[in-house]
Amino acid sequence: MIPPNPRPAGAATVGGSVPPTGSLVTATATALEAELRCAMRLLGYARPMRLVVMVSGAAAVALGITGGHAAPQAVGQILLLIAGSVGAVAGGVVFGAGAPSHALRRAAAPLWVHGVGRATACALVTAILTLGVAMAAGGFSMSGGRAVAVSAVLFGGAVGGLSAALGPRIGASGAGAIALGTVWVGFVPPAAMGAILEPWPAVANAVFWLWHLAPVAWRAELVHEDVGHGIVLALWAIGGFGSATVRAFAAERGGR
Amino acid sequence: MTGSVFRAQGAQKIFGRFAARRVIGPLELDVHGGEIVGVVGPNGAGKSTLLRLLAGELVPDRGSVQVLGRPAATRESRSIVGYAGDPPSVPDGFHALAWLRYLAAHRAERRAVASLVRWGLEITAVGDDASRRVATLSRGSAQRVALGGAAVAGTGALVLDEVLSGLDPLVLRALHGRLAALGTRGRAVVIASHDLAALERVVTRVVVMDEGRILADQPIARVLARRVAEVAVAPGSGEGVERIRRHFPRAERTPGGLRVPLTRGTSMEEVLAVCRAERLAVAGSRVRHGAIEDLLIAATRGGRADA
Repeated sequence: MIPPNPRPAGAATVGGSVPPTGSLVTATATALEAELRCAMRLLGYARPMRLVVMVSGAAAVALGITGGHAAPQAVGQILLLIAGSVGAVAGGVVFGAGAPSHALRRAAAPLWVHGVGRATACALVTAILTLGVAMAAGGFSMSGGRAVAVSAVLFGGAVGGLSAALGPRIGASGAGAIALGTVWVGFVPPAAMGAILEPWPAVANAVFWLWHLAPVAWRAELVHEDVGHGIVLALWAIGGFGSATVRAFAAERGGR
Repeated sequence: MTGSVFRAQGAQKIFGRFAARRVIGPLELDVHGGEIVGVVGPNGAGKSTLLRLLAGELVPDRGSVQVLGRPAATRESRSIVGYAGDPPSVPDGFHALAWLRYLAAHRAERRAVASLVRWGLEITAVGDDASRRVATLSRGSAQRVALGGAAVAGTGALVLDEVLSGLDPLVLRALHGRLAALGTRGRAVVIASHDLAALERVVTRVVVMDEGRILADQPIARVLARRVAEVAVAPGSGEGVERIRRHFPRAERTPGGLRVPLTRGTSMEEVLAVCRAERLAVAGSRVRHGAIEDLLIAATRGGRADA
């Protein structure tokens, strides 16, 4: 059977992605939902994501067994590690070079729809896993536990932004690896990092500035003391996902 | 919409540097609404690059590629053009239904998404495979999913890279009708394929490419209207065949004899008469209609074949 032509009623014809007669709000909501579902599907089938989920589950079980005897600082650092790891993997996966970016280009919705839809999916997954582990560890009953959990989610978003921004350029694996690196070594504060690198002043200066600019974990540990650190992390999340969307949407300029 | 849908003007794409530098173009191409253009050529001819330029997946380094008057690599143009690449670039984890639903959600009102997905599924004709992950499908089925996705996403034009490859004859036959239907109502379709016989049944125009350039661009009616005399000769008649070729400079040797284009008043009777005069033992002969293959061979061997 030859399919009916023209396209079904209500489907866009020549001239753009927004259907000609429907409500713009409904159309935008439909597109946002599609992006969210797309990102969730991408995350669900990414092997590194499954690994991170398994590690998070193991952490939740281990912290649950300790029955709230773990030191609050250790719980906080574990939450940051988990949130950062989830963000690092998720950001790279949803904006990776190849099929995820291709899908974005072919859907060709307004850029903010792609960015918000996919970033929301990353945030949801990060929040669910991080807060789940926090609950298992009894983190919410600790003093300042909620603030630590929220700052961990914010940190996950910032690392996700970094990973997402790198994803369309170097692929999901490379982006995830770099972002994971910032999570794992980022607990060292800038002053301590400067002291470690003291014999190499040029390197020490560069790393010192990098440590102040990058979304590294030491900053997340201080969010509940200084909201400025939270603003920096939020800017990383917004800027990273924004840059990722623009980059993923751009046509390849070739290998000249 | 019968005006120019795709327009490439001096479009050039450069890959690599120094010794590895490879230039595609400059390309001049106009595709109008209602046309189904087949792009053929040897491997590495630049077909996929041309298609990616038209789909806005690549930006030309020189010249321009436009879709309905806008640069091809813009959101507006991409929302007009449905593109099925080779290999199909469907994200891992998606099955046909999810992929079509994703694209349809960006092209239809909420209440019309389901009907647009159904429409796309009819084109893919993957049946029960619609809920299997695309990565696990055969090449032919995956190509059909890509075609369905392109049909759903492409509101005014389709760019299809090798969607006819790897399909069994029955599916191919069904697909001919579907492609022809997609090419109606002013929609422009550009298909690249190595399956020349399949293209002949679908396209309205043929573009031959080689070494990054367009060598021939002709309506399919003109290609098929040509006639070719094929003469099979007895084994060991190589010298005789060469003597015949002196009479017909455009004749080509074939494994079993020779092929003579019947143009400019040349007739089969004349060819056979020359064979008799040259005492060449003819084992069999036939006249057949021209084919895209003839155009491809003529164009890639002898430069621009506009004759």
